[in-house]
Amino acid sequence: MERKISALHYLIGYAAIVVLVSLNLGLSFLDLGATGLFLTGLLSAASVIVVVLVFMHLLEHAPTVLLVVVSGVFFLALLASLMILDVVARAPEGQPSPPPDTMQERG
Amino acid sequence: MRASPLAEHFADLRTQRHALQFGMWLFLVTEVLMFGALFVLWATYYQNHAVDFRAAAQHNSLWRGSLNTYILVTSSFTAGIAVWAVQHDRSKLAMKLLGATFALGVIFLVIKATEYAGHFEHGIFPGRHYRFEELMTQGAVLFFSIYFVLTGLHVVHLLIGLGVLLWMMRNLRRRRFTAEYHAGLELGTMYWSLVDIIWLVIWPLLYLVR
Repeated sequence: MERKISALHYLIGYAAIVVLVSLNLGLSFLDLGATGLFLTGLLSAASVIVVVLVFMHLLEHAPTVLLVVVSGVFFLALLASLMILDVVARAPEGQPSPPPDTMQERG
Repeated sequence: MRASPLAEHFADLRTQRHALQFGMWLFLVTEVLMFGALFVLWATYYQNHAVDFRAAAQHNSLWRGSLNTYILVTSSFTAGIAVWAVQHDRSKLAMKLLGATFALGVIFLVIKATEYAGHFEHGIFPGRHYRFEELMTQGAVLFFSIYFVLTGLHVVHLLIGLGVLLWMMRNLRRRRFTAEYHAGLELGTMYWSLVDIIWLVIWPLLYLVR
């Protein structure tokens, strides 16, 4: 039997998103540094998840659709991870990059 | 008697609906990957220009950006619950909800236009055309270039979404969406919600990083 989202689910979802957005807005007035950035990301992600599950009716759709969504999230995470690795692996500006480990072994 | 919406190559309407939903999610995922690449680009430049990015974000109108966020979230709600209305044979309510969604989308555009006008007045343009004397740093130029690309691309998607909403309202008036079968309405509102979730990520990156 197919699941159906009730009107109450839509209302609760809407209220939840409004709360999350308001929290995010309030958080922006606090100087929390990297923690603040992380919390902002978390609140945004939570809002997106509610929209996807309720307003985009993912809760009503067949489980195979979840495969598509999960694969999209996976490839996005892969893209982000590779970019982060690239930036982190770079030498600081003005300094040469360290030689790869194989060259150091031969030397 | 109206022809059945069942296409020849599907066994039944349920299978057809599932195929349409699967295809729509595939398309939406490609859209997410496109914007995702731009979000990652923002993150990469932020890594090297955090101070400039925070300073530049101060010159974006927080109240306009936040108001637009509430507007889009509300429009996503009205679009989503319009599907519920059609599922419960309440087409008139669905029409009003889709109309409200359209109106909220137009209000978003008006607010965005006033924001762009404010930027242009201060000399904040993308790329080499940037001439905002108060914040003349490489990081600020990068920030506002990404700002115009992200918000510009988002506006294009929103305009397409408005067209999709008009198409759905037209079909609803012609009774092409019924309680038994309304895949077109569902897919159209899914697209509108995508416009919302993209903004839910754009908003903190461009307005809350202060």
